[in-house]
Amino acid sequence: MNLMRAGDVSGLPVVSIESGEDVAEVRDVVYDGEAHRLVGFTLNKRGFFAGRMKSVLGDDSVAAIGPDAVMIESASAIEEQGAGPEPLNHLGAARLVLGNRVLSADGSDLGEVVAVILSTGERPEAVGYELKSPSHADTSFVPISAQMALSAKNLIVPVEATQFIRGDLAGFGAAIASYRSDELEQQP
Amino acid sequence: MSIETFEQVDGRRVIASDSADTIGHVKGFVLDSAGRQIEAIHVDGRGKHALVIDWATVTAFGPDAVMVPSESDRATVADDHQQSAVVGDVAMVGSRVLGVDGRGAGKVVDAEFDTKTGAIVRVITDEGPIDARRVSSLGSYALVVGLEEAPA
Repeated sequence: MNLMRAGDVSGLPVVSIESGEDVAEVRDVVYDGEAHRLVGFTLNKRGFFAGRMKSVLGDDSVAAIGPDAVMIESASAIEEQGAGPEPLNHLGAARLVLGNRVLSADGSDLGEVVAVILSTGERPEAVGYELKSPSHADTSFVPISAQMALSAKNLIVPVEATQFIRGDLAGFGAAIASYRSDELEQQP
Repeated sequence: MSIETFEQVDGRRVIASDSADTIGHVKGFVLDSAGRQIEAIHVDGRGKHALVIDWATVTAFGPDAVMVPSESDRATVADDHQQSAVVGDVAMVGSRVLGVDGRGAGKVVDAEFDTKTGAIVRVITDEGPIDARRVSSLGSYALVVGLEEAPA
């Protein structure tokens, strides 16, 4: 599974598969911290006089996220502000997670959330968080789990997810893939 | 089916059959927005004064000359789509190549086309050739291509 830090999506062109035109540029990633879910993107216009666009791009309108562009089927995937899914109009909630302390369910301090990690390719979604260790010496990646508990300051990672924590993004991609298949198997 | 590349035909004479006069040279092509078919040939002039010939009026795209019935088949650009092609905003050669997965795949260096139909057959990039059937669109930002089929 190919992964990307959500922040690295900012600035990417939004390109229509139907026309080959760059219809916008990603301004910011909208993330619902409480649901641990990628919601969509706010946009800038392209070009010299780039300003903020009123339109937004919902997560389900994205055809794919890659290292060089966010792809959409056609320009109509971009919605006028207001028509988009609800959390797109409430950016504040999306910032809940960054800066939170992450604790494992057995009581170890794993670090502080510094980035949201997205899966790229088709059907992009939030799959993990990047953490800085309490000493700030190390970076690690922890998978997002439905069982995560979140308060205003803390995020609790279930014990079974801690074995999938990795120190590098490439290794985390492989770990996420096996974590997901484990979760699927456990569902009745 | 006779295949030539954009580079091979660049500068080829365009001749009016009725007068036997040279009425221009191949300077570039206007492609459809799907990037798979030549719609018109840019034969003379620049910008607003560019003259193009509809592919449909070409009687023969020969090895030494492009034959059209008459000088009157030349026309100024008909719309924004043709305009953006003749000024180079939308051009196959030099275009960035982007996969539908949002991953860059080099730049277009040349393209092969069928001189009978004007259909693009293959796009040549600095990372290798791409079958034209994979092309989704050609726009001002990129040539968008579908993913390679996994080998069976």
